[in-house]
Amino acid sequence: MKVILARDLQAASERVAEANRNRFRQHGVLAINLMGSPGAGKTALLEATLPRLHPRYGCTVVEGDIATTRDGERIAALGVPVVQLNTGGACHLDPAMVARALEELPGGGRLLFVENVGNLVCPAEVDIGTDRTVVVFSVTEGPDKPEKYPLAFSRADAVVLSKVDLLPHLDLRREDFLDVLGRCAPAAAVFPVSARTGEGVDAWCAWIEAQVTNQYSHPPGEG
Amino acid sequence: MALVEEILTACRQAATSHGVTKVTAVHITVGEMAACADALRFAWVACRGRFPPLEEAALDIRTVPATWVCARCGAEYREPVGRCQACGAALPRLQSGLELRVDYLEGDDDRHGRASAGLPA
Ligand SMILES: Nc1nc2c(ncn2[C@@H]2O[C@H](COP(=O)(O)OP(=O)(O)OP(=O)(O)O)[C@@H](O)[C@H]2O)c(=O)[nH]1
Ligand SMILES: [Mg+2]
Ligand SMILES: [Zn+2]
Repeated sequence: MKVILARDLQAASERVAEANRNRFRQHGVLAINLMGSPGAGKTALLEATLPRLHPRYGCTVVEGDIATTRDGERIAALGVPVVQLNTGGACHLDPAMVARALEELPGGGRLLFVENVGNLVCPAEVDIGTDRTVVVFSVTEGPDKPEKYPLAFSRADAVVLSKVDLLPHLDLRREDFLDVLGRCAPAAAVFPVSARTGEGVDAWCAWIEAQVTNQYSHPPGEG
Repeated sequence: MALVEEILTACRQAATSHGVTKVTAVHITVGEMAACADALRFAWVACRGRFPPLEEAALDIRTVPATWVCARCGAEYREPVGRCQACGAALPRLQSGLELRVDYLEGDDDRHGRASAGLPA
């Protein structure tokens, strides 16, 4: 016999994303989805960011990788609660994986960072319930990438232009990147950052703090 | 893999409510941008045994190619482009390729034995 289901699984996935979002609201957490190509510097950015924001906001991190726990170990070394997810082949996190990771994390924090699997295509398509989407885009990837991967950039709330310390070694100028981002990510705040030298980290952290304030309109420690 | 869990749950509910004791095949539709068909097949074989009627069920995947369409002139692209090459409008939108659907399952039920004729396709 034949049983017709015609069941849309994406709708199920959207419901889980919505549940994650509600959970963030209830707990007063701002959740940031960090995406970018493999090696763009997502974990390095977190390593530069967490020491500044963790003492004030209480941060937690979900690390998504196809395999290995290396990035999770790098975050744990900073004393920040972290859950490592291994997708076992899938090229992006889905909301159910994030929901499961949330079960493992302690409460009380105000900021959650989700480092998505290194990939500029699929993570942009999948709503995991986070409040802000940030693309980490390194200068070594070349300024054509926002036009080749427009979805990720067009949906980003912020773009971190990473590894700017390497610009002197490339035949490219900072303006080449800012121009293309102005076209492909017109709504995004753009932060040139070097996790290596610390350049730009202050402005990036100030943006995150402003997002928490906008979302909950009261400063940390009062909620 | 969470997606396979969802497929299993949908199949379990359907099989139970229709008295299907042995599922022979599960037919799903997967957009090229929604999930990797190979990873799904792999995870399916690893997970299906959790619900005994699915133990030998094959996963039949119909893939849907990803297409991007210009909102202004309707030009279609098979890969993401920053601008429409025909009219210059920004960011053609993804139109297909995100599908994820369990279409139907086939199996034997305790009353009628194996048959798939006579039911709507
Ligand atoms: N020069 C320089 N190198 C950097 C900077 N940030 C990261 N890197 C280097 O870039 C490489 C990749 O950095 P990661 O932080 O692991 O990148 P990722 O995006 O987390 O990578 P995946 O999680 O594997 O996708 C490492 O060798 C880093 O040392 C930077 O600001 N400047
Ligand atoms: Mg990383
Ligand atoms: Zn057009």
